[in-house]
Amino acid sequence: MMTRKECENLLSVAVQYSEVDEVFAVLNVTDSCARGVVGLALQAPHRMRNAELSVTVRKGRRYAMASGNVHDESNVRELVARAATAATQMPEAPEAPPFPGAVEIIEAPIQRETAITRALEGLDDAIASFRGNPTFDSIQMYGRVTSAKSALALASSNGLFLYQPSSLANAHLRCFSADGTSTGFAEQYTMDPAMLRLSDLLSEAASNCHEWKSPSDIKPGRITTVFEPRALADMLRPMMQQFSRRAIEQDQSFLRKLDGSSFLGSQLFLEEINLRSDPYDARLGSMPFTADGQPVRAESWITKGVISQLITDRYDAIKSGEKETAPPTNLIMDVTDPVQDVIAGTEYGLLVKGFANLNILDPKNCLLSGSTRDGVFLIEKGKITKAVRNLVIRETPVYLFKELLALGVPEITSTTGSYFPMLLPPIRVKDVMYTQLSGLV
Amino acid sequence: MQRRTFLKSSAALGAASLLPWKAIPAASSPAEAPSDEWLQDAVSEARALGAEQAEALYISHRQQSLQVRKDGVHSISDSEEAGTTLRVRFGSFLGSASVPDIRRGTPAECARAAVECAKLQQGLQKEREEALAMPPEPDIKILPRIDSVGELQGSWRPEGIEDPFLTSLDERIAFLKNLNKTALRITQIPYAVSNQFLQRRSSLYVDSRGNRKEQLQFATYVNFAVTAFNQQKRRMDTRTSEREAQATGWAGATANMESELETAMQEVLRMQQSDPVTPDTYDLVIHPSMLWNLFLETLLPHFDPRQLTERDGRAPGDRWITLSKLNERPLRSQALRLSWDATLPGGLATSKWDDTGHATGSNRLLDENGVVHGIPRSPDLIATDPVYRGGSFPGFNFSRAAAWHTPATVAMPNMILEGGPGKNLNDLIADVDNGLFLKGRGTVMTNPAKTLFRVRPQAAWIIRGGKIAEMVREVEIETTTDQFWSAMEEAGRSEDTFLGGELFPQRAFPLWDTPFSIATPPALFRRIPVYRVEGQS
Repeated sequence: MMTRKECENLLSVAVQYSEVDEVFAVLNVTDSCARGVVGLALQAPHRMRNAELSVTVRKGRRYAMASGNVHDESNVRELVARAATAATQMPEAPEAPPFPGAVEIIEAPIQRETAITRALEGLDDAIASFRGNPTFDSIQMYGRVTSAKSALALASSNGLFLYQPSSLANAHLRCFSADGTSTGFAEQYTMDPAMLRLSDLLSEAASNCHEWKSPSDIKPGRITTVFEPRALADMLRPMMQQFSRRAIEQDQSFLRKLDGSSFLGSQLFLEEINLRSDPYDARLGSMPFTADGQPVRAESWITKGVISQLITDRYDAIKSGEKETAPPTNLIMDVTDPVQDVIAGTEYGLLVKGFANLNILDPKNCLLSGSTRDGVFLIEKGKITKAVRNLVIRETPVYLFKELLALGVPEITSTTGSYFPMLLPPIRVKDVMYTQLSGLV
Repeated sequence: MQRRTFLKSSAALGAASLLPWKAIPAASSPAEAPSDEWLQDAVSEARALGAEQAEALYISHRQQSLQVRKDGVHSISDSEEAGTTLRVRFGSFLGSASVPDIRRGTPAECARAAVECAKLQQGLQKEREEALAMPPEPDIKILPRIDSVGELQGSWRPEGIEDPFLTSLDERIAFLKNLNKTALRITQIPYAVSNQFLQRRSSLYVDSRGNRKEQLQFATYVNFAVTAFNQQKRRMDTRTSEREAQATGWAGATANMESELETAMQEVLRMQQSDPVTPDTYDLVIHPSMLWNLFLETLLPHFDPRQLTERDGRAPGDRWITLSKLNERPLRSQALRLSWDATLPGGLATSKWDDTGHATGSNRLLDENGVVHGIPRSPDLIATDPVYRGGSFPGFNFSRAAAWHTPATVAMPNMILEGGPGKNLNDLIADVDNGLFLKGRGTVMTNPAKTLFRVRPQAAWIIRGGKIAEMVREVEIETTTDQFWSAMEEAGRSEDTFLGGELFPQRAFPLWDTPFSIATPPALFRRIPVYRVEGQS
């Protein structure tokens, strides 16, 4: 892994290029290993080191970018020169704010010393014991285990230099029953490769597959729903994007009032709703700065149901004079009086564990649509009674926070398929809208 | 003679034949490759650490895309990546490590990383075999032997093709701007966009059997789209260029493009005046500019080895053709004959050797009786998954690395939909009393299983009494993959074959991540349901 000093030396060559007005350079260094599981056959393990440099230059009001991993000193100069040549051909941008300057950011403690290959060490055994378990006979398992140490280094010709090392191991597994009518999913992210629970994840995916066997049809409509933390995370991520001042200005956010101003300072949600982020929270390791050099600070986004902060990018901050506020890199929902068992208090409803293809239908009210996936169950009289077929949800997370019935005990989770750590409770919400059966397995 | 000395002298001899490559000006030169010695040392170190075989593949990949909208450059992106992947084999177990050009490290470090990867599975595997009384691993002889690849040393680049990066950026931009300018002279054409994608891939393969294979490949794709707008009728129609990405230089990719633009402009203006199609069942004559893409989107996915073997990560039961159903001969058209050819001139997957050092070739994939003769596979699939071994899998080897940092694995070679006995396009049209002639890469939508599809061709004409009549608009075909390809009655002659190609296949097919070409003649399909796209304008 390249050290802070090595990254600084390399980036300094790029940002000292004098034929342009400004240079901004991003160096992404990785050392990773990965192994795939394909129908219970294991692919050969692969290790990869890389150091990828991307350079953006500004010449007057013209910008251009070039990238590559071919960079000793002379190659770095060639890469910047290539971007400079391209810039002369580009149209002028309406605005040309300067690239970021020097800023001090404390490194976040998001790197572990454990060897990355440790993540793969238990995979053969885990698969062998899984194969030997008659309960899981005929299950088809697919997935991938990856483990990486990375460093992100940024520099600009205006004196910026930032460096952040990190580590992340991930296993995601999907399985199907032999007849293809049932599926299960399990996923884990951890900073320490030694903490991957491969056997547990295999069993979890297979158990989910078994539990969801022979699902029944239910009539779509408004149904009280318990969302597990991962399902809630999938819904909150698009919502957080709408906290951006730019989105509000462009009428792409539920936080825009009819007069064009924002709901900052307004109570939109129930008082129980508190949402904050903190890149230095040890439980939810995340980056303390963005790839364009914006510092990520601890922020409170919703306080007792009141919108208390908005995302302000560098360009908007210069234009409006507001404080620059980066988007969150993690999310924490504090719950003061959690319900121990959210399901137990549900007379009739659904338990939703996750989603597939969740998309924004209407950004103006953050209306989302997608299919439930990886576990939908009917709850009757406080108990899970049967699996039900996947449904198309058509709902906004704004509604979830307005019609909340109960908050459970927060758990560490992440959005499905990508690392965005969150500490979220399971929640019970009244009358969530489902429009039809999705037909998805 | 010491192995390294032998290779050094061979490399010196080989260098003479590579002068044009070396002569590339510094401003666009490929990244400095690791020395032969570095690659040889990495291979030797891996052998010294106990690997039975080792192979090192260096790849340098440069790409640039450029878009001009109306009279101005809209975007330029430029990237260059290079590095080496070392793969080792212990018995039937593989492991690999990739290192970038920068901070390549020592050959010994790279070898240790690859060996460490392989050993992550080896020790455990032995224990597991005993514990679970697994059947013994297959005879290693079924793995393709690296020493069976013919000549050991060589270099190759496509004949007569100049590196497209040698044409200056200014010159290329001027060409694209000129295309747009020509189109925008017509008042009814308010929008014109042109694009350029260039790729150059240089590779050096070295292995523990003494192979040293050096190759250079190019891909150039220049295209345009012209949009006509009829304010009175509120109609908007777009026609794009028909030429697809090919392994060619700038001159080859742009030759006669102005006349192609004229044709596209005339067609798009005529489309504005045309009437909607009457929904019915029609005989279709499909121009190869549309057919290659239909083949790519609807039929070819069913011949992916990972789909056939149900190793594509999809739900079981969600596939039309599987390995176990191959004998059922699901394709019923005798006109449908497919070949693969990794030596096809201009093909995006054309090379002299694949990325495991094997000489490339060509052969039949599907014959007129629906018999499948061979599907691509690769040594790594054979090594890791028993389903690819043995006689039940009618395979041939073709491996390519998607990037410098991924080990070579099974890849799609160039595909050919074979031509018929000698009918040209007009002959095919003459065989139709009431039908449609369809042309241009259309928008294809499929279900996830690729068993149903819907396509909207760019341009359509009525065929009446064996002759092309008026143009029609708002044409849509919706049918099943099975019904459509089974309805193929005749393929046009091979001389009319058109070379389409997918430069970025991973966009639509995550399992295919290296470019390949598809050659198709025109073809006649009988009784295909055609619908009208309501409100297309």
